[in-house]
Amino acid sequence: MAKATETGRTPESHLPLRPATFQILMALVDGERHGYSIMTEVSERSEHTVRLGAGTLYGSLKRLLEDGLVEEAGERSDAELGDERRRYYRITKFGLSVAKA
Amino acid sequence: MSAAERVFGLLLRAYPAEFRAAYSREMMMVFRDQRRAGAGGVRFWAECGWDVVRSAPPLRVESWQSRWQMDNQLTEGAAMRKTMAVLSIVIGAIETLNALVEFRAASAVGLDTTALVIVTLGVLVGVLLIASGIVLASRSPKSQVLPLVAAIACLAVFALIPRMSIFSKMLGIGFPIALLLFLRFGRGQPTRTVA
Repeated sequence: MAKATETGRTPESHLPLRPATFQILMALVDGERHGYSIMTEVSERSEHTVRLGAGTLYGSLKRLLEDGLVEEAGERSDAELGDERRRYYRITKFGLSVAKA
Repeated sequence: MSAAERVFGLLLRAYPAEFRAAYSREMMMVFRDQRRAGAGGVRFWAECGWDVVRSAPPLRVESWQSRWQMDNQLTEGAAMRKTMAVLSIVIGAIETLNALVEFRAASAVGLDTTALVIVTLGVLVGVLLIASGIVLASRSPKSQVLPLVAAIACLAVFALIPRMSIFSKMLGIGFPIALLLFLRFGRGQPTRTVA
């Protein structure tokens, strides 16, 4: 039996995941990423068949944060993209178990 | 800000205010990154528009739902506050009247010190309860303190004074306990989830 979170929900209760949500979780499996990095990773992983728009990306991230599948990992700049501080996101253990389920 | 960013900023207005407050800066940054990477043209703008059409309505619905739930919680809290305010005023008035009636009765047979103390305390508690009711009804920011003092004073007085009917004691002890429970748990503060 899968372990439930603090809210009492099991990984299975989050299934089936929406395609965008699944893609975002998979993009975060390798490590922390900011929004644009998630977007490009999803596009590359799907060989450019899935293209997330900003609204879909942040709408999904908002729900993932609320459900405890993803957490914020602070703000910092990305050397490749300039000095602007970007918010990074990381997958939680629970998020990982949902992605595996 | 470029013309394209201004247009994208207009598109962002389709999202609920709290969502924009949390994510519009990042969404604009993503848009800028996309533009820097060479995105543009009719197809890109069509995708942006379609993304807004797909993602904004569900977020609006979620926002309305969460606001509706919060309003409901606030309404329940407000109703409970009103009930406690009315009860506090009514019970305070009864206690004050009761103390004054006892004072009159005691005066007829000769007022001793104990009776005078009981009557004074009875009036004090009654007035405190009435004032608490008024403060609760007015939703003053200081509305925690006075009801708390009144409830504790009421409990102390009614627990200590032996010369009271069972009904008076039940009212004088039961209500302050209810008031304390209300102040602790029933103030209608919504347990808000991040919208």
